[in-house]
Amino acid sequence: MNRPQTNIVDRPVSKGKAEVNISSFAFLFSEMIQYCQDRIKAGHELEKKLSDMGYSIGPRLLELLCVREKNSKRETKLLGILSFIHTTVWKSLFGKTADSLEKSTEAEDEYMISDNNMVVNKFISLPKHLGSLNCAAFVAGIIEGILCSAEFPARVTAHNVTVEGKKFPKTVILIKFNPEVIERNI
Amino acid sequence: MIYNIYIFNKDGLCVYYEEWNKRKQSVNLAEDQKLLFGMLYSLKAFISTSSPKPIDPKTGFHCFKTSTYKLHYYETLSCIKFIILTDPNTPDLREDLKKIYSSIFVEYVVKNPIYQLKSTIKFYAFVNPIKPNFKQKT
Amino acid sequence: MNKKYDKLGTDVFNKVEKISSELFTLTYGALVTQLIKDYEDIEQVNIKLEQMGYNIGIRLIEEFLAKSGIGRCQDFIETAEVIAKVGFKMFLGVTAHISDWDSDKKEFHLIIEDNPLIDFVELPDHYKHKLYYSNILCGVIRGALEMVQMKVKCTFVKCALSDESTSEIKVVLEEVLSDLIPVGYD
Repeated sequence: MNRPQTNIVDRPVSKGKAEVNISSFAFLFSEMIQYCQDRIKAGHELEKKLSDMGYSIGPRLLELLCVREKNSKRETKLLGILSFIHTTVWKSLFGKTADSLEKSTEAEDEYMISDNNMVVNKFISLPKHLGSLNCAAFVAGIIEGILCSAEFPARVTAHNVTVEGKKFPKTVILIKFNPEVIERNI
Repeated sequence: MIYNIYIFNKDGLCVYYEEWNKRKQSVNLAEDQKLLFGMLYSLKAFISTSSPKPIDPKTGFHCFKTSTYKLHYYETLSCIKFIILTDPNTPDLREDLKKIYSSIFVEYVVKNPIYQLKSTIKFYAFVNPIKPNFKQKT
Repeated sequence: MNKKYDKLGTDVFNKVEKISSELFTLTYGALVTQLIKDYEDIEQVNIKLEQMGYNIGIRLIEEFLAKSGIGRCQDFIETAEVIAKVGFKMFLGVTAHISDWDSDKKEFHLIIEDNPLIDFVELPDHYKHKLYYSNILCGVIRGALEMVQMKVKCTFVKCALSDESTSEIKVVLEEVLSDLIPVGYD
């Protein structure tokens, strides 16, 4: 059996500095949305499908970032993993940290990460019948995938929140941890 | 003064139309659009056969003028046609048409995942930025 | 060969807004994974990827023309050069090489040494020589060229994930389309 000379494990881990045109991503993402749309029956399934696709990225990204940025150490504290997502994950995906990380005032088990300028919503202008669709469901899926594979199971969803005086709504990623995670952290 | 704007796709469908300051309303808009597209097609054919030197009719044809209006024309290599009708004294608007193509059409229409290439353009992200571009000139 | 397009490609790439190539690569990976899940037959996956690429190509050409400001090419040789040096650079941040022209100058090979789509990827043996992981690129080239009146056929002749080599796409010019009167205008 012929193996490729540079087996994937022998190649150096990418440093994460390379960049592509943001439009390439926009076009690819746009095709993904189209693909999902063709395969679902009802509108609300679209976010679910996007979130599922994001979810499959989560564990891979977690591995990669732990090896590259954290000397293979893993976060075991709730706040640790949240700030890891807010900072390290966001930087590697979007080139900057998220705009804020807050604990919900209403629920003990909910945290929110917000971004004023979410790249996946950048080129999207929705017709009325799809008004509530949030393509950041894809990003929510990635985050859910990371949290679940880091042993912090949670439900993660994306929401648009209008900010007074701003033309575009900000994107809020709502993280609702499973009860056992909260209990463990008390 | 600007009267109206047309954008035709590759297949001759008018994907965007808007009018301002027009005193005479069109009786049959769809028919007018078809007529305009057909006229441009013939005109371009005429331009390339009558030119003394080889010419690319896509880039060689800029505008024409009548006693009541001037038609400004810009066509991309991908056959999208941008047309504006103004009063006869308006200076050349080709650069503006290019700008509409590169900074509005490409950014808000082509990159919008929801937009189907063969349909008309209705969403606000395109229509909104295009208006202020002309307000200053109308 | 002419250095003009190398410079143009770099200039345009420097100007455009960019995004982490990891987000792009992982997103593409999620898409391919989803397709493999949805279609049992790998050949169908190749076809679907090519189609999605085509859909991207017919849009991407507009951005390409608008941002590069390139006019009509004199011949297919120039077109090849523009794809490799300006197109690839502008969207993926890497350039490709041209080789293997046929005697009619209607057919060439595009060699991609640094394909960002395949970072992190290793194909399991049973997909080798079956799945053309980056087949989306063939579709993009076909779609983009069709919009500027060139009908081409693109196929992977070598794939870095299956062969011990760089990725190689064969591009064949089948027909130059004329500016026909669309249906309904006569």
